[in-house]
Order: sequence, then C-alpha cells, then structure tokens
Amino acid sequence: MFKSFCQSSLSLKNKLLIAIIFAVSLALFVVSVLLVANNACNEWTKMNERLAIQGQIIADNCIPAVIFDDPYAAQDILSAIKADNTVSYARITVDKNRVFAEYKSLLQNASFILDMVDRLGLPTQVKREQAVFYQGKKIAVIHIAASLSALYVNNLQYSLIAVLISVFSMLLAVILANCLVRSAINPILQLNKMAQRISRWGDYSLRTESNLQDEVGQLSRSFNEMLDEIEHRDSILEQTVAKRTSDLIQLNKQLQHQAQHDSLTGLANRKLYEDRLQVICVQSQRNQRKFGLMYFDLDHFKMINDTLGHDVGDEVLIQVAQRISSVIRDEDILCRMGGDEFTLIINNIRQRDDAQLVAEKMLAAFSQPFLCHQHELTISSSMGLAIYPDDTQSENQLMRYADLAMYHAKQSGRNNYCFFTESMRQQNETSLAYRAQLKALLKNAVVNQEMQIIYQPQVDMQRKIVGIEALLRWNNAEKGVIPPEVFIPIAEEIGLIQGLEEWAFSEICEDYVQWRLQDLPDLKVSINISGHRLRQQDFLKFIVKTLESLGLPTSFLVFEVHEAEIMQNLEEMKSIFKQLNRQGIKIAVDNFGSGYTSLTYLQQLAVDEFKIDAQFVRQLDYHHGSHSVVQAIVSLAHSLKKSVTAMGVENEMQLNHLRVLDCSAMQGYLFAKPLSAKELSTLLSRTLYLMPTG
Amino acid sequence: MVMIFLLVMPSVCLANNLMEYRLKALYILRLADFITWPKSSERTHFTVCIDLHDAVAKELQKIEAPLVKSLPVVVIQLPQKQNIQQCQIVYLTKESFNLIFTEKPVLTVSSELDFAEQGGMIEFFLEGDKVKMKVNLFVANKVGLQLSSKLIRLMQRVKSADEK
Repeated sequence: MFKSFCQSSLSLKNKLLIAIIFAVSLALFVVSVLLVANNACNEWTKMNERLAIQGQIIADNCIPAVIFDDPYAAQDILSAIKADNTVSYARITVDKNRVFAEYKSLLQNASFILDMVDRLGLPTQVKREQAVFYQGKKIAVIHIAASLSALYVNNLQYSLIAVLISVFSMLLAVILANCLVRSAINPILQLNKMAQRISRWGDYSLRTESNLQDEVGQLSRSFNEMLDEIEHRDSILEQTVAKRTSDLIQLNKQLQHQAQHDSLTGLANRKLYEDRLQVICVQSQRNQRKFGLMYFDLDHFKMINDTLGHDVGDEVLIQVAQRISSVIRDEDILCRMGGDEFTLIINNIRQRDDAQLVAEKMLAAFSQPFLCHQHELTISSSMGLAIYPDDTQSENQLMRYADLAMYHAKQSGRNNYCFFTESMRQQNETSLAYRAQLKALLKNAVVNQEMQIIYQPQVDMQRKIVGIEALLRWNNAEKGVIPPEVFIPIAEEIGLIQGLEEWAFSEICEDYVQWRLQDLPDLKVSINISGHRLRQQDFLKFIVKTLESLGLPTSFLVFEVHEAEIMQNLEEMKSIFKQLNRQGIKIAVDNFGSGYTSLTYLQQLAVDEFKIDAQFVRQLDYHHGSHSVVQAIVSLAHSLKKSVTAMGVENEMQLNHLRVLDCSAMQGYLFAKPLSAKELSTLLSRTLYLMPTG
Repeated sequence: MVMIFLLVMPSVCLANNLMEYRLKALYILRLADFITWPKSSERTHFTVCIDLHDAVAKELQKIEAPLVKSLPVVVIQLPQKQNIQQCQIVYLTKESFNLIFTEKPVLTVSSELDFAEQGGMIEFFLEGDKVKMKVNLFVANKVGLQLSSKLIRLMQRVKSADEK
C-alpha cells in the first residue's frame, strides 16, 4: 500500500500533505487512546482504593454493632456512605451470608450507559468484600459495590474532549502543513518547471536560481552544474561532429575510389570497368565508332605464386600494370578483373588493325624480363580480342567473346593474341551443349546403374598383387564410356559430387565385405578423394559411420589426393591428414611430379605413398628428362621412407627401368586393366601373381 | 464452643432467662474491650466483681479462659466498698446497690431498672428478645473511664436524676 501510494500520480504536495495528515492523525489517535486509557486506569484504581477504605471504615465501626447484636446501629454506620453516590450498595453479612444490615443507593445514574456497557460485556460495577474480625475470629463480612457509570461517563466525556482537541489540532496541522509544504516544495516545483522547459526547448543555457542552503538548494546547484557540463559537452560534440563529418566525406571519397579501383595495382576494378564499358558502348553507338575489348592473363602466373610466393606474384602484377599502362593511350582503359586477369578497353578505333597494333605493342612490352625481388622473370601473356560493334553489340557477349578468344590464344601455345571469330563461338557452343547433355544424363546415372566401380591391381616387383585402386566408370548407353576427368567436374558443378562419392565409397566397402566373406587376401584399396570433399567437416564422420555399419577396419583404406589439391590448401591438409592417420587411414599423393610440390612441406605431411604421374612413366624409355624425374621421385620416397607406385606401366621396357630405379609398386595395363568386382574376385581366388599381358 | 456460638449468633432468640444471663455475662466482658481505664498498662489481669450467687455470675464462670484486652479475666465476689478499687467491673444487683456511687475508676453494670438514671454507668435492659444497654456517660467520665464512641453509638444515653 505504501509503495502504491509512493508511485501514485498524486502531486508531490498532496503526497506530503497526506503523509503529514496521516502521521498527525496517528499520533493524535495514539495519544488520545493512551490518555483515555490512563484516565480509566486511574479512575479504576481510585475507585478500588476508595471502596477498600470505605470497607475498612465500616469494618472497624461495625464490630460493636455486630457483637452486641444491634442491626440498627449497623444500619446507621452503613448509611454514612450515602455521601458517596457511586456506592450502589453496602451490606454486612453474618453467619454464612445472613444479611445483618444493608444499605442500597436509590440513585439510578446513567442507566442507559450501563445497559450499553453491559451489552458490550464490560463490567458495570466494582465489588469488594472485607472480613470483620473480633478477638481473632471472623464475625462478619462487609460487601460493598460501586457503580462504574460515573467512570464510564467520565471517560466518555474525556474521549469527547480528546476527539474535539484532535479535530482542532488536525485542522491546525493541515493549515500549517499546507503553508509549510508549499514553501518547502516550491523550489522543487520551480526546478521541475525549469527541467521541463529545458527538455521542451532544448535550451541548455537556462539556469535555476536558488539561494537555499538545504538539499533542494544543493540539487539546484548540481542541476546547474549538470547543465554546464551538458553545454560544454554539446559544444565539444558539435566540434567533433563537424570534424567527423569532414573525415567521413574524405573517407567516403577514398572508399569510392577503393570501390572502383584495385588496391594492389591502382587500376580500375571490375565494377568501374562495367560502368565504363556501359558508357563507352552508348557513346560508340551514338558516335558510330568502334572499340576493342581485350581480355588477357599472365601465362603460368600460378606457378610464380606457388614457387616464389605471393609477394613476388603481387610485384609482378604491379609491374605488368605499369608496363601496360605505359604502352596504351590515355583514352584506353586498363582494368584488373581479379587474380592475373586484366581487360583493356581500346577506345575509339577505326578498324580491327588498330586493336592489333595495341596487342603487338603489349606483346613487345612483355618481351622484356621483369625484375621482381631479385628474380628475373620472363612473363608472357595470352590475349583475346573482340571488336564492338563488329562482333556483337552486347556488352556481356563482348566480354565472353574476348574470353573465348583468349582461350584460343592459350590453346595455340600462349604468348600471343587472338581475335574472336564466329567459328570459336560455334565450337564453344557445341562443347557447351555436350556438357549440358552430360549434366542431364549424370543426374540419373546412379539410378540407371550406369555408374560402376572398377578395380585396377597394383603389383610389387615380384608381380605380386599388393593393392588395388578403385576407379569410377560411367558407361552411358548413348554417349558411351565418359572419362572421370570429364564427368567429375560436371558433378562438382551441379552439386552431385558428394552423393556420387558417398555412393562409390559405400559400393567399394560392400565389395570389400564380399571379398572378405570369400576369404580372399586382405589388400589395400586406394580411393581417389577430392580435396574439396576432404575439407568438409562431415566427411570423416561419414567414412567412420559407413565402416562401422559394415564392421570393417580402416586399415585397408588408402586415400589418394591429387598433388595440386594438397598444395592449394597445404596447412589445412596437414591437419586433415593427421586426423585420417589417427583413424588408421593411409594417404597417397596422386599424380606426384605433375605439380609444384614444395619439398619443404613434403616432410611435414603425414603421407604414406607417392604415385608417379603416368606421363613420366610413359616417357621413361625415350625421354631422358622423365627418367631423371622418376629417379628423383623414387629416391626422394626412399629417403623419406615412403612407398612409391608408378602409374600407367604399359610395356616391359618401362618395367625394366622401374626395376632398376627400385620402385616399390606398379600399376598399369602391362599387368591388368581395371576389373569389375566379380572379375577381381575370380582373379584373386586363382592367383596373386600377375604375368605381363603384353 | 458456647462462646463461639454466642459470638457468631448474638441475636439468637432468647427463649428463656438462662439465655439472657449468658448474654449479659458475655456483654460484660465485651464492654471492657471498648472502655479505657486509667493506668490500665500496669494491670496483669482483669477483675470482674459480682455476687457469685447471681445467675449472671454463674454464666460468667462458665466461660472458658476469658480474655479482656488480652488479659486473663478473674471473677471474684463483690468486696466491701473500701476495697472496690481492685475491681475493674462490678455487676450490681439490688442487694449491692450501695456500691453504685464510687469515686474509683470502676465500671458499674447492672440489670436493675433505672440503674443508669440513679447514678450507675451501664444498664442492661430487654427490648423484645434483645439485651439493650443504657449509659450514663457523665458518671463514667467522672471516674476517668473513657467509652469508645463505637460503643456509645449502640447505647441509649441517659443522665443522672440530679444532673437533670
């Protein structure tokens, strides 16, 4: 209740008044009750004492009357108390309550009060008994009673006076409190009014005036100090805001520049390029002018990044940008699209030859080596050109055609330029159509049972089968056998790769279970896994779950990961390989030698096997360089205590070379072509040694 | 037992004279409790003088170990006038009326008619079945006896004939 009162919407003045009135009422009530009670107690005590004295007097005086048996004399004695009109009766009894003499008051005072009191259950009279002794013996008893009506009337009057005084005091208190409260809270109300004005008008220069020395005065001064502080902060804030705004404008300009320019080379970026291209298209159309779009990248730039590091790569990009910028006209626009890809808008040309001239100049610019971080680098570029509006009037198509032309430039040996032709478009569209068909077919390949797992045995130098490599084969009724290097990228593109890999893994495991049931020798099974899939969190869980559901160990598994994919995400692969090793799964580096493996990291990778790229093995018997590469890989593997498997062994000559080089294992058509699970089990049940088929 | 009975039941109807005598004997002793004798502190006992042949004397003697003002009570035969000072109370009959005028502090009590008016101090008389008393305060005060006002209140006050 107290809380609700404090939180009520009453004004502070009314709240204070109510509180004062309540407190005064309570105090007056308590004081009145205490006074009345005290008065009643006193009256009661006095009455009792008076009765006791009267009883004693009667007792003293009535002894002769009793012993000389004179009730009249006794009556006389009793009559003496008539003077006390509160006594309602007095009586002397002898001999077991026989009345000897008696006096009864004839007065009937305020009987209605007594009736009321009686009804309330309160006492209406006080009684006393006094024994009378003579010669040590009790000879009579005095009974005396007094009516309490006088006491009640007295107290009633007293209460009435208390109420009257209380009411009067209350009125006085209310009047006084009203004046005092008003003068006490007036400064607070003024303060409140001031705060409202400040909040309404936001004028922090206003101040309150108070000379009071109490808490309200202190509050006023604190309020003024707070306003000083706010005003001060306001001015600082305004200054800060002005400064920040100018900073922001500056920053905005910078950001705008950054948003449209490449931070590394300072060239226009893709965004600005697109804007400019659009504008130039419109201008060219209006002015009936031509312009050329060149798309070019740096040949083998990835190798520079991988072998010499990104610092060198970045430096190359900067120097290329500078060098190209120096050979083009001011009206041409050079943009970096990302990575090592650039576009050049050759603005305002009359004919195709003008663009060709620029391309020739650029080739000439690339002919000089670049000096980056003490490396002298010979860098070439492949360029594709498309002409607006000769080739197309669409900006997007223009870009695509330039890209297509660049692809052809690369196909025809890099370090040259190529103009877009209609035949390029047709050729591209044909291959695109083929891919589109494959996409559609691939979706149902598993359901249509076109996918098959085949196994190619791996043998040691004694031609004993030591392992098998699982390969995925797609045999479509319409398109024939489609090689994995064709359909795997498509599966990746349309998001089927994960399902396909999981299906393949389950198939392999089920085949393995069958071989175990047939008591065939335990062989390690190599499976090609994409780096992308390896990096996915749920991959290892899937593997472990599948193996557990079939009750298979992990020890038979060898995951083959392409060298290039390992190198792309070296640090991540390191930890993934460690995890796989912990699970008991071995790792083989597939197509080892085809990429640019950093030998520094090779030692740190938890791999168990190297697989030599088939292109080196194929050239073993006639290409001295390949021989050296294979020799280097084998000795590297031996020194790192890893096993090494040569892939694509096709004739006795290659076999002899490998034997001399002390290769650990081999795989190829010389020993066995890939077999179905059934064919493999038939082979294994017959022999473990494979004779060359050639 | 008799005494207790009489103390508690003073107004038992006096059916016969015996009761009256007994009451008078009792009253003689009780009177002493409300009267002050001069030099009473020197006393070791309290003497009631009475004609021992009288019926009241007989009743007096029947009271067991009577005490007046905490002093034992001795009941003796009425002496000669010259020896009257040894008594504190004398109960006179018609025969011993010569002792009525005494100059000594001796309380004179009698049941004879107009005893008080004739110069006696306290006179018993019957009113209905109750024994009542008359007092001649003048006589009592003259010999130095002081009667309690409480006692006087019960008595009918008379004056000597010569006083009137």
